Amino acid sequence: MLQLYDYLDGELSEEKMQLIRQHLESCAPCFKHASFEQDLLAVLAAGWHSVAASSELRARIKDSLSIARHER
Amino acid sequence: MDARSDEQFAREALPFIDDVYRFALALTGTREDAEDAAQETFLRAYRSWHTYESGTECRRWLFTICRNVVRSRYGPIAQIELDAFDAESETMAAVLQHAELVREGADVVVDRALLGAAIDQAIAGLQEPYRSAVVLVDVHDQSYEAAAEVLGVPVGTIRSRLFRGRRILQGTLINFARDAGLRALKA
Repeated sequence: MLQLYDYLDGELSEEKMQLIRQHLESCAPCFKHASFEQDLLAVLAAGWHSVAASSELRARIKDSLSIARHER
Repeated sequence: MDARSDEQFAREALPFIDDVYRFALALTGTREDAEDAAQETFLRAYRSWHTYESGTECRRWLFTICRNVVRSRYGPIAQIELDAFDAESETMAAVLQHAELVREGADVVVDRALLGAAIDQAIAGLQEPYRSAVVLVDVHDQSYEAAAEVLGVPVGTIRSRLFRGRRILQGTLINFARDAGLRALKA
């Protein structure tokens, strides 16, 4: 499972990536499990991507940079 | 800073306001604290811009500043470390959990990603230090090495935090999916 995450994150050597890729191509249960994990990670990432800075925060940042600019 | 550097800062750093805010939210856990930390991060980055080498990983540099801001404002970042991380038994639990879902047919529901309402709940329920590792790697595509550098911990710590954090998040989502799946089967 740790290796599966390493694989999904692209953290293994190319040789190991290839070995796991080949295994997943020939092992339906592992392929299904890997797809399941990948889908869940994608769903979670999408959830976080919907979190964005508010327009108030953007304005605050620009205001503070403007003040810093004039202090110099 | 001269006008040229100002333009460079606007072009290279400011596009990452959302990213820094999300990372700050992961570290602090509250919107108010995250906004304060993000504002302070960009101010510090602006004042240190002369030390930044153009073309290097600006977003990672901003994450590192953000982590230092949070640490200086709120003290050491939570260090709830993995208590006796047992990869073998946790792996077995995860595999069994998936096998059970397959038997129930609930994994199909997960595949269809009918999880909108549960995602916020799952994310809000995840504690530090797992949340920041998950956000850096899963949301912002940072490598384990980059995440380790930003958070100031060994790569092995990132791996174990990710493993545990993902299991916690997935557990919440799977429970939701299982309920949804069972409801769908009964309907």
